[in-house]
Amino acid sequence: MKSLALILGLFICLVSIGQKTTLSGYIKDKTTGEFLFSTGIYCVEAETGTRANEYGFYSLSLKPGTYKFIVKYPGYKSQSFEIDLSEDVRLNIDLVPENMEELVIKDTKTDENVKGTDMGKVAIDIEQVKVLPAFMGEVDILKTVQFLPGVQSAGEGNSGFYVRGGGPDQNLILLDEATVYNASHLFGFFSVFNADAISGMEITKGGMSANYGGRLSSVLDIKMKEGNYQDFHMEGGLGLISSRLTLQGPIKKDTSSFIISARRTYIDILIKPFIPEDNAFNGSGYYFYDLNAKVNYRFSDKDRLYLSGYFGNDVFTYNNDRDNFNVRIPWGNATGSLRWNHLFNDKLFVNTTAIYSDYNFQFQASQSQFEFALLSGIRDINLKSDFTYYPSPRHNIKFGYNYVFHTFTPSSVSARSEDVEFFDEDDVLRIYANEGALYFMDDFDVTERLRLNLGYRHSIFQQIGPFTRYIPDPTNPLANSEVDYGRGKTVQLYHGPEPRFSMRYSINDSSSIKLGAVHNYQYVHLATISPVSLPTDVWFPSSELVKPQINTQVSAGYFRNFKENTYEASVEVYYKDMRNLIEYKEGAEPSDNVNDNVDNNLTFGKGYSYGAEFFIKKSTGKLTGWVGYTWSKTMRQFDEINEGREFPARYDRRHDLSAVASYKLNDRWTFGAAFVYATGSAITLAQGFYIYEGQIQYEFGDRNSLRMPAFHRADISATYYTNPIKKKVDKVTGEIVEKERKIESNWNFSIYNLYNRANPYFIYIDQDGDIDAGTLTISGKQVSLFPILPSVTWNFKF
Amino acid sequence: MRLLLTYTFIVLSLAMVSCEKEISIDIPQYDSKIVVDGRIEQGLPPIVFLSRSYEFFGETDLTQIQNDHVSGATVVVSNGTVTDTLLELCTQSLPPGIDTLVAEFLGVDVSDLALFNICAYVGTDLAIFGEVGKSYSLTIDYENTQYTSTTRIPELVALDSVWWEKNESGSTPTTDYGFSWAILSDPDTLSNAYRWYARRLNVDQNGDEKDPQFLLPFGAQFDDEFINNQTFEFAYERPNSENDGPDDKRGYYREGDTVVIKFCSIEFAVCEYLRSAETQALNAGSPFASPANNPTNIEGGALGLWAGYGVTYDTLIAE
Repeated sequence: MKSLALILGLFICLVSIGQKTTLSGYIKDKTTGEFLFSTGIYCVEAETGTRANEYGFYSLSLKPGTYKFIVKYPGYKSQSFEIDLSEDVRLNIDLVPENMEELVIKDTKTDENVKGTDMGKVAIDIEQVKVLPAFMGEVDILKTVQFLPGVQSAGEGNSGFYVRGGGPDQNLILLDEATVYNASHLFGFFSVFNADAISGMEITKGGMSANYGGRLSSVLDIKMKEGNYQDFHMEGGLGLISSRLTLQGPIKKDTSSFIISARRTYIDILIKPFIPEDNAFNGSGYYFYDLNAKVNYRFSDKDRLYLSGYFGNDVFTYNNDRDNFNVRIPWGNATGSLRWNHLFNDKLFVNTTAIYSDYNFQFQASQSQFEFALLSGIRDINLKSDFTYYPSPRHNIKFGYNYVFHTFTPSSVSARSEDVEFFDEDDVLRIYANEGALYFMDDFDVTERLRLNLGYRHSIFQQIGPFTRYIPDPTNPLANSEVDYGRGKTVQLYHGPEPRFSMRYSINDSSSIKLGAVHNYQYVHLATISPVSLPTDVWFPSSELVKPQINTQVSAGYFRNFKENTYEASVEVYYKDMRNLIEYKEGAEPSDNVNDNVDNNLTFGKGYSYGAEFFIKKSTGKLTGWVGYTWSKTMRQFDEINEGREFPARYDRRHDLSAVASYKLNDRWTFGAAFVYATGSAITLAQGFYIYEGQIQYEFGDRNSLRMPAFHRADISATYYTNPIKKKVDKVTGEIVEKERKIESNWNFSIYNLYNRANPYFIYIDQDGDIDAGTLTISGKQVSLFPILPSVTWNFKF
Repeated sequence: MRLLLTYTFIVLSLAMVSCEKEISIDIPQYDSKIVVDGRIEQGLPPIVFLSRSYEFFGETDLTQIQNDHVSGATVVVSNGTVTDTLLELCTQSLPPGIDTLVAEFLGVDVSDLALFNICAYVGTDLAIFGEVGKSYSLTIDYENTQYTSTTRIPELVALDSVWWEKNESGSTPTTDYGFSWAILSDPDTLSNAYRWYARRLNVDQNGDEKDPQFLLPFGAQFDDEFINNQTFEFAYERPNSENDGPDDKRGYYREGDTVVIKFCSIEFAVCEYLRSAETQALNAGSPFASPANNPTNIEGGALGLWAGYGVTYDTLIAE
């Protein structure tokens, strides 16, 4: 705590004091009324500028005088104006889109690449994602994220991702500030994010700033659209496997708006007529749906309220009437955020959010009179406030707190046979924990060339009762014991300092060098059994056995823009050290949670990762896109795995190349293409075999010492936009008149896996026949998932 | 349970979309290892089979693998006072007495022994024959490499009683069939471990033995982690036999069966190996199974097990 006070004091000294007047306000899109975040505003005379925060608010303090300002946001017409700043001025700025029809390639401030202090941070434009090839026609923002250097796909068609050698649980995925614990549908093949409801997203791979915490490797911050404040609009799409519909508009013009967006798959409905009613499997099926909704209200210039929510579910049902066997597996997320933006004065802005987030997995099975259910999940109640303070144009200060109450259900069973209950719902094992953090950061210009971002976050985690710890006795199983903790009693307490640092030194207008360092803690963990992310994976908290995961990352980069910011390029190198990582014990078969704790099956170790990422991006012109290449190495060391020897992480990939491009031929046609190449995943396979007591035994090589064949794939797409103008012959005059169509629509044609590459999903050893009969054959088999898959989607808007 | 769920998920989801192909994987030079299958029971000579391990994706001849024998090794067993160099013998020329033992060990008929040309290293000095409570060291010298191990024949723990019980309750009640039951009193020492073999003495209508040798049921070995110093009842299913006829219900003994139970005390380390080996045989290369090697007790880079068995016999008549 002392250090925090020290840093605070330091900042206050640095903040220059003097007679200043302030220009502040919000920057909005004139047509929809939605706020534009990260817009740049520049004062010509003072040669200084700032950018709006994530809620569209900006503030710039200058000596009294008359100044000329320029406001710039890519895809919008620049505005310039002159203003007399003899006293504080509040000014809301409306920007007009350059061309409504044109594909808008949004970006952060065009020279943000070289000017900002952010490292390893990339913003992705949703409109651009929509013209890229889509897997089975489903636009998926998480799959686009995987095309960035340093971000790797968890597997074929999978939305899961790994960032810079970190595990899949080390990514903080936020939807309107609510944590999304399981971001995928259907075994990871689709993400839970419906692109129609999303306005923007940003991923931070490296030095995440102090306002983010709780995960080691990355932050994926996704913002939902606010809804149009001016007019009603409806948009949607019909795809091969799902349909979408979005409705948005004002509740009260310029004051309040709403958006509601829904999506549902319909494979189950489509195939239903083809399954005869007497078929034993009649009634089996799978579907998922999501619903996003948001309402906003602007009380005044000083206060705004947002209420947004997400609700999504996957439901898998399996019925076998013949055996009277039924299974139902529902799982899904629900999040809700209530946000209040308040402006204390021209320089101090606060956003306070109350968040509810819930992930739930259930497995319900019944056979005759026997019923069985398994339940696991996590629920968070979260309250946070984030302050933005603009003492002078040189400083951009943020500070705030975050408090979360976690309720974990690691996995609980209930079983019943007729009237006999074996395990009761009331016995559901729950684990409770408090998590909190305080942070402070300042992003400031030291000199014209040097900009620093210093931050400090202090996090704390407390597991509280009621809780029962089962202690297995290694020497005498009869001496196994239990320790009971009462309600509210501290089971375990952890806390840790999380300093953050990043700096940018401008070499000239188009190039800079950046350095970053971050030290952070993660208190919640995901134990995965299978290499694919499954809904059966269990979240659990830090405990006496499970220490918080700790990460220290340093990175350095060279950033350069070419041809007046047409091309952005960067090279970043990083080294990451991770402690207290988690794996299941060798040979452990995580069994029921009855009379045991999940963490009794775990083992702990450490890891490191280093690599270099090369990135070049073109964001303007007819041809846009990027190429990213990563060279990296990710290793793990666990005392109880691989006899303590270091081994490659499952997602250690030496080479990872991805290229994404879209080409706008004309107003009608836009083409997209994507290519990815990655070193095969590390696997452990039997390398030899032998016979013992007449049975075949395997001799496995070192953990993850073998490689699957390399993964590569190309996808292409074409989007056809219908002509927004229709020509009509005027019956009276006989002249041809042009009329705007009420409905705009487009067709997206995609081909996934263009050259039909059989990429390995997993590899296993197939043992066939009988050794005694001499018919035994042993072979390695590779299972691949998706062959060439064409798809078509029709999207409309009016 | 969770593993089962994982299986269910993967299987169900892949069933629809996946395709499969055979591949060969580039394995950086595999070095074949010596595989030891050695055992010693009280009153019997030590027997050690030596074979080799094979490269997974290499060219292999199965018949050759089955009859594989590493010849020319020097195999020495010592109980601390007596040291015996084992004699290399082959099935076609086995002394009487040893042939039945070997046949049982291999799970073949004595008469079939000659069909295989199987060889083993066998102790011939009576003074090295197994004794309860003694430890036996094993030293194998082969091609300038030495492999060593030690095992012990644990104190005998006899079953208190064995019986057959009709399966009259449960989901599929039967009156003619049932499991074998036993009561065991585990001593107050930790890490006791056991192995259960069973063999029906009955013959089928052709006069063939239903079980030509002792067979292992599912989960044949267990330790006393949860049962230390307790007296408890437990049941085993009947091990599967190749000679099962239509009247033999899988897993059950039929009324009228006469069964010899061979109940062995084994060391904990031996139990762990046997358990791991059973799991591996069942998993048969499943991609979801944990890739763990069998925990061998042989030092020096060999695979396999050197195991001492303290054997007691019981007879169970299904009536």
